[in-house]
Amino acid sequence: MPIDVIMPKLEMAQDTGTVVRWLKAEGSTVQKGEPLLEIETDKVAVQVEAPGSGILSRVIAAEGEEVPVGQVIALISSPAEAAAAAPSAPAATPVAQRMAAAHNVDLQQVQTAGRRIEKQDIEAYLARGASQPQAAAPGLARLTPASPLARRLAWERGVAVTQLRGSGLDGAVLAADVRQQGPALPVQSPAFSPVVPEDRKQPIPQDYAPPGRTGTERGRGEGQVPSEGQPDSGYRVIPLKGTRKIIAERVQRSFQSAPHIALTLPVDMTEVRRLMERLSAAAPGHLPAGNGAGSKLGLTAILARCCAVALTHHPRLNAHVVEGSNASLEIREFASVHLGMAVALDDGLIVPVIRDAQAKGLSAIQAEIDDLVRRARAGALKLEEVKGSTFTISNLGMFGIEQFSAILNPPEVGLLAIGAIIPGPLEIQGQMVMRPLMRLTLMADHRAVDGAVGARFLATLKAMLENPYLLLT
Amino acid sequence: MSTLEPRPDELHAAVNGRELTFAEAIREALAEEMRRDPRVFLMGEDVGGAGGVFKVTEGIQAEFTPKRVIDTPISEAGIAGIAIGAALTGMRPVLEIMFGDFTTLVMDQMVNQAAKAYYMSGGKLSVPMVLRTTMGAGRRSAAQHSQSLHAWTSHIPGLKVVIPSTPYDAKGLLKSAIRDNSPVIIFEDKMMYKLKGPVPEGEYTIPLGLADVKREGQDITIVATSSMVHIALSAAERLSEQGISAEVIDPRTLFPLDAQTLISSAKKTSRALIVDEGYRRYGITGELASVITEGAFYYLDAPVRRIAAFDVPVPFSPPLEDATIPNEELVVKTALELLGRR
Repeated sequence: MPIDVIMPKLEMAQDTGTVVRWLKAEGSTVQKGEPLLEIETDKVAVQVEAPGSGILSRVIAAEGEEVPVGQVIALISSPAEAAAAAPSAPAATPVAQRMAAAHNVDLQQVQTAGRRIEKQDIEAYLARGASQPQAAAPGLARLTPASPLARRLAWERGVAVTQLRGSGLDGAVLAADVRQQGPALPVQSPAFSPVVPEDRKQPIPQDYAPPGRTGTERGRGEGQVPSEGQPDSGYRVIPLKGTRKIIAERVQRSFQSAPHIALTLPVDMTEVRRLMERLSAAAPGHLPAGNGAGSKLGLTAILARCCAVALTHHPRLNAHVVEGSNASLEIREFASVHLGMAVALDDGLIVPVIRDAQAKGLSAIQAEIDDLVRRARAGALKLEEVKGSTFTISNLGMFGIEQFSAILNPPEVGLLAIGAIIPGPLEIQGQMVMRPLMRLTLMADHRAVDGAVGARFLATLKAMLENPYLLLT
Repeated sequence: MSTLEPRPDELHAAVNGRELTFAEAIREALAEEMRRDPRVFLMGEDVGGAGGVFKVTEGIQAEFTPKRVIDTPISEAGIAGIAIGAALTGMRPVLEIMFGDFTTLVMDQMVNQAAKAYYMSGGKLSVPMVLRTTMGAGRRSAAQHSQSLHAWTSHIPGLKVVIPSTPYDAKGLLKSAIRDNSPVIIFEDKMMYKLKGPVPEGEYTIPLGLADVKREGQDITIVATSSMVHIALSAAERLSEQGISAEVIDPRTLFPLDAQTLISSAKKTSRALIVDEGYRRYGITGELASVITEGAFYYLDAPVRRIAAFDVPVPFSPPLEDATIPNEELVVKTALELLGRR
């Protein structure tokens, strides 16, 4: 049996992956564990390793194609299988071969239900003979033959008819072939062990979309879309694809499924500033140099550290809302804080994760931030570095943004939106004094987090930032 | 009709079991309507004293006098014109054209006059007439007396076309046709006149435009008309021996057409086969197949198949004639092909 290469499921909320590039050509030999292709998920571009050794006998998903997770995207066959499947030698019984020769039948045109072409297959071929339409010319693109019902069922089940073996006339995929496939593809990927939720509705296979079920109507509007940068159109069209499309889909789903609430609290950053000055002045050599000299303690590291500690006191914010085993929603509070950090890219953003942030000191966090940000901008993050976050922080302070609201990073229930530090008046012991103020906005999923819960978390965070020596406790 | 509710004819058969032939059921409908409405009268070749060439109107003239049961000269175009004129002036004529093949002679009257009067007069005129005629091969009547030309009139806006398959349906539909204010053409398969079936005593009508599920099933929909319904039912019985549950649907009227029942059934079974005795090309089967394909496309697991009469003049040679007509064997075979069993 050929080994299926499957679009891996890399994280809870991932529906699809896009094939960016095949690193091996069809027909080439591959070794288990060697990079086979690059895919792009909503988080990163990542290399997928060959799940087994053999010959890449069939590439099913083309470059640029977006494929539901769990779907077979290529087959790796043993050399023997590949030879058997090679078009030059269709297996046939001696009788079948004699009959084929006598009737001038091309064995490659004969279908068989079994492993070898047998006498009755030739007879069936001859009987159908004249009435059969000729197969499409080689290289001519055409639909996979499939009944309308089979297509609809396949779409509902997240299976592409192109992946199925048809039992109907001309090898057409029938409803029974889809039903036989089961509710979802059996998934087995040694590389990533993806899991496909049973009832997950998958996007429509590329070559088919029933009307009224999707906005991507085929055959209409194609070719009318002005090409990128077309001068006379008055506008430039940037198709929503790749990372942009993924971001668009994720934020929309998050915004629509999670009822967002926003709580804003100003924090006096006097003590944090003092801490930063003292630390960089007093102990320059003690902070780790991420990549050479230059590394110094930044505000983000302090915020990350405080946030991680505060989250351990408020586990409800360090949580996911996900579908549980019985298909109803559940809140999962995590013991460890895996802190996502939104990093802006040229056109897009990525959220690398600081693992177990609650257990890491400032220097370790700073070193990790430096490394993650650098590699995020270089597109060199590994997959496990961008998944599994339990809470996300997003900082637009460097742009002077005073405060902002953000879209939650599903399935997380909380996100801290950090504004700029701006001098502002504060009443201290009856005196109006100017202090460096920073507005923190907690975005929360109200399904899991009530206003008061969020407020208490912000209060803890504020207390820590206004008295960072608490970090020593 | 729902599964739980017994059909009125079945219910009746279970209660008192009165059965009539197809011809008797039509005769009863005619007589009841003539008693009910003095504007109703019959005309046609040999409908009076002879009781009709197929004995459908036997005894009617005795009850209703030659004034209301009029024997006409052999001039189809002429008597159709008389019927239309009578209808325009308020009568409700029931015209018999002995063989459907002869409806070619009344086409101008029916297509250009009867079908158009209501529209061209802005609704001031109507033509409440019924044209009864025959269809169906198998009677060894050769090419000019064996055709099923119901597709011709089904094509014309302004005409209604009724195509009953059982005595029960024939009576109920004919009564509705006589009461309808549009010109209605009824095609009766001459081979079915002696077919017996339950017909309850007393008044009932069947609305035009309501298909009937003659047999419920899950695996394949067979849409059949007129005598083909019986072929479909026998085929369904044979299919059931192979564990296949076929649904047989009789549209009963070609216009108005109960498309929804056809489509719903095809959606349920995912496969549809149309059986009709008209010629295949540009015919009823093509129309019904496209109605189903348009309505149930995303539920179909196989192309809609159709079985019709061969596209040849009906042969006089009995074996050849029989070969041109859809039969049970062919329906079973095609159904099995549709189900992927060969």
